[in-house]
Amino acid sequence: MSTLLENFKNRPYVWQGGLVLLAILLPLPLGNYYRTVAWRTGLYIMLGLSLNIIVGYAGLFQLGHAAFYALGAYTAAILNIKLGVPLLLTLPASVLVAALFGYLITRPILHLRGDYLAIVTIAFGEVVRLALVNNIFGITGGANGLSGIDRPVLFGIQLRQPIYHYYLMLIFLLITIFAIRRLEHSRLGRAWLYIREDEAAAEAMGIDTTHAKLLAFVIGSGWAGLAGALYAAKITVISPDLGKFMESVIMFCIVVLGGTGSIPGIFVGTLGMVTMPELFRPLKEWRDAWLGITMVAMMIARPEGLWPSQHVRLELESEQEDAQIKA
Amino acid sequence: METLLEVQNLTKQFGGLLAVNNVNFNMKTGEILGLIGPNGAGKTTVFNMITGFHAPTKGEIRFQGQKIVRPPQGWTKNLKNGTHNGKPHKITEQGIARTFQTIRLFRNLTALENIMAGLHHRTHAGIWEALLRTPKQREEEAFIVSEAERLLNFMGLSAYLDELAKNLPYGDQRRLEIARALATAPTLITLDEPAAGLNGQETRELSQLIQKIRESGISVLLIEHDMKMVMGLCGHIVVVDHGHKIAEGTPTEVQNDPDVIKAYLGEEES
Repeated sequence: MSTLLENFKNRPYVWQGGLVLLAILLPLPLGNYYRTVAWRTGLYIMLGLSLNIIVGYAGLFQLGHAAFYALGAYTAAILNIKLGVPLLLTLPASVLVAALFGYLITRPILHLRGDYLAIVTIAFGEVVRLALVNNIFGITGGANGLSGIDRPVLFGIQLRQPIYHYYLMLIFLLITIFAIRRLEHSRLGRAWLYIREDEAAAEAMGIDTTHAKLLAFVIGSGWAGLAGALYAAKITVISPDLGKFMESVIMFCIVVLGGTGSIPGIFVGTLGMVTMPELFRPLKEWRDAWLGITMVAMMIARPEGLWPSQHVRLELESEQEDAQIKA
Repeated sequence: METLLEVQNLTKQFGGLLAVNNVNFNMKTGEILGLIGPNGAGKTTVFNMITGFHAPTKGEIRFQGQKIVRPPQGWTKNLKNGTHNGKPHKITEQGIARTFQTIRLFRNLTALENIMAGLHHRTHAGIWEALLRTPKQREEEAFIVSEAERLLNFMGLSAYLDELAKNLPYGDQRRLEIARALATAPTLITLDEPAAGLNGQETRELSQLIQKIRESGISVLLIEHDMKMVMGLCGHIVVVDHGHKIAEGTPTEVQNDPDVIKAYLGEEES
């Protein structure tokens, strides 16, 4: 077993390629319902990965992430419906708008930490949702949201079937993972690591902590905006519910339960928080109970998440050791 | 020799407590200056103001003839622990590096990664370079690693390259913290009680190391309790007590100063 694992470790391309192949083949034997479930899974993995930049890498609380997801979806929808921009061309705009709001909203509150930051992000999330409900500037369609978004067209094919959307999502997901891995192993990725370990020491080393944290928020928010636009492309109807608090909570749980700071962790977290509840939809009344019980059990048994990153695991261990020494 | 650091009328008030009161001293390029005083005398507060972790209530600090750029007081005051109230990273960029009284390494990162932190502000790659892995970015990464390795060797820590900082012996953690500060390529390195918790042998080695740092062209500002070490290393000593400067001069002058004797004997009585 261990030699098998070693083999895989030494040749990452083998299992990475295998996983990509699996992801490509996955929807083929499935029906439309399960293809949509697979698409939803991809969507939330992307949202989890974007939130993971903020929560996992930079170590900041963000409990209003769904606001940026909604902003991305609304940007795509408004550009498409009001100005007739083809949907796939609205994607960059969705990223930029969500990133811009990420910048504007978090700039004044970056110096807050921990619980204070968590409260303020919840509040901002609600402000965005309520602005959408109240039909701000008369372009968001109020509580009913917007409908009639055009199907995206790629190489002359109108993307109508769930399987097309699955592959569209897969392409963006692969780009996301590639980009995030590169960021993780860069100067900026290390800066986040130092900030999470000891912010004062990082600052004393000449790291502009405010700038690094701001970048985490801007990148994370922008990427959530992209996920929002992809949602709008498939569902074609959007409402302010996209930005509701429960969505933010689900995204946050994907990151924390899966394993903060870890890419495989986000996959596991999404399977637990989104895919499983979706597959067990017939047991509707039990879904929320399942979520609640999992969360409680996880926090007791495995606070570092199911598939944690090495660093986060070490940090938690250190904290526990410190607590034991003090006690 | 030219003046490197000028501290003028430096005052810091924490609520009703006057931690530092009108302290003045100058430091020349290339010297090892010792800042000593009994516990609670305000040494670390002076230190924190020089490195930007506290904004002075009054007075100013000039470094290489320029007033150190400081953000308006209270601007980024944080709610929880109120510690950093400025932009210390700017001061590090200007050439003042620091260590901490209680070791503040990145405990769960390797020795090498710890030193790489100091190279952050000397390099520039941003998001796009990281995403595209441009040749320039790869060159920079290689420079960061090789420079960090060089400093590990300089401090005699190369055996710990891949070891997590928290697993290093205490004395080596102190040295790793100094190596990390050196990685920022400072003109002035400020050490806050580097010999605290070290035994006699380790303290002697540390003294040699500080000499070596000075010889490499970096000025040293040293806060220390170990009198033997300070008297042996520093040509210039500033003594503070209860926030005031009570004496300044060479080791012999300071040792024979009646105020200094009083301050230290007073501490012994209690």
